[in-house]
Amino acid sequence: MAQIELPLVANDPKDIEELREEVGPLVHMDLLENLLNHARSRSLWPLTFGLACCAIEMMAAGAARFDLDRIGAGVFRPSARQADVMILAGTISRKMATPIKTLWDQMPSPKWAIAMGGCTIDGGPFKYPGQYAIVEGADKIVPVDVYVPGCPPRPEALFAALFKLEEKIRAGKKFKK
Amino acid sequence: MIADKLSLLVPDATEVQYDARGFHIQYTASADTLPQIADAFLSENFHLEMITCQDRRENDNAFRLIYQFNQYGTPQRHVILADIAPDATAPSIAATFPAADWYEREIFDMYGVSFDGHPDLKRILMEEDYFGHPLLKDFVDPPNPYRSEDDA
Repeated sequence: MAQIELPLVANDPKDIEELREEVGPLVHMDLLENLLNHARSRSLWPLTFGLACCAIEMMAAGAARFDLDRIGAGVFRPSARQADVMILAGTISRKMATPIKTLWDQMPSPKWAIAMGGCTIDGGPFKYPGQYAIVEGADKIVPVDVYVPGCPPRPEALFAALFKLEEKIRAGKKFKK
Repeated sequence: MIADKLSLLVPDATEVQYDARGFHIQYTASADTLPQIADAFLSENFHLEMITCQDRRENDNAFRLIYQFNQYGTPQRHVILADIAPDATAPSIAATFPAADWYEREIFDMYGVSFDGHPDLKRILMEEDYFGHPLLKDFVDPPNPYRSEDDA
């Protein structure tokens, strides 16, 4: 942090006000927050769960050929309490909506969600007037940060989504909701 | 032979064209003989392929239960049709064929047909507090937050 040269005499309250305007707040938290965001973006721990066929591609992304560990996102946590990012991989049946909401609520902040595949974007091929079986889009139950189109998306697409999410996290307040 | 055993229980057997229908013999049975029919098929080493249901209330004022039994020994497929009145219950065959357990739960979930003697008849696909039976012809799902068309 830059050294601030204080004037020798600043007893007058008016002088102090002027000084504040000149140098801004005396404590800057930006650097620390950027550092934290950087750390968060490089260690996105996903919650271990798959909903349907997209989960197969998610597992392929985690396995040796593509290897999510290269970007620090391969640590699939079996407990929602340890997870940072929820990858919604597959059709969300209506019966599953309540457990997913519970899992999301159990994840500690800061947390992010990736909607993987057509079904989690808007219901995909299962959407028709009067349908009774599925949730038409993950954003009906959790706030989604990144949408990955595809049926299913290839592992590269999931990687692209994680890179986008990293960008979003590092951008920090610019994306605050 | 299965045909002999069944002829006592189900007189009405029709040979159907396998190429067109995918099975060999179709029987029209009364619902209360289903447990005996299941026993007969089990004793001849058949397995339960599936159970399904049709909502035929508009045409015949009945639900039609459809049972399919197959055998690997001498490859053959048999279909049993059993009509029941809309407010009647059908006997469960889960005691004979454990595979029937979940099929019967599914039919209960989707059509509201109850099975007597089922060990644990509750919904299998929809939430337990769901209100209706989605595959009925007159089913309408009321507006809910999970559908985009219902968004205000």
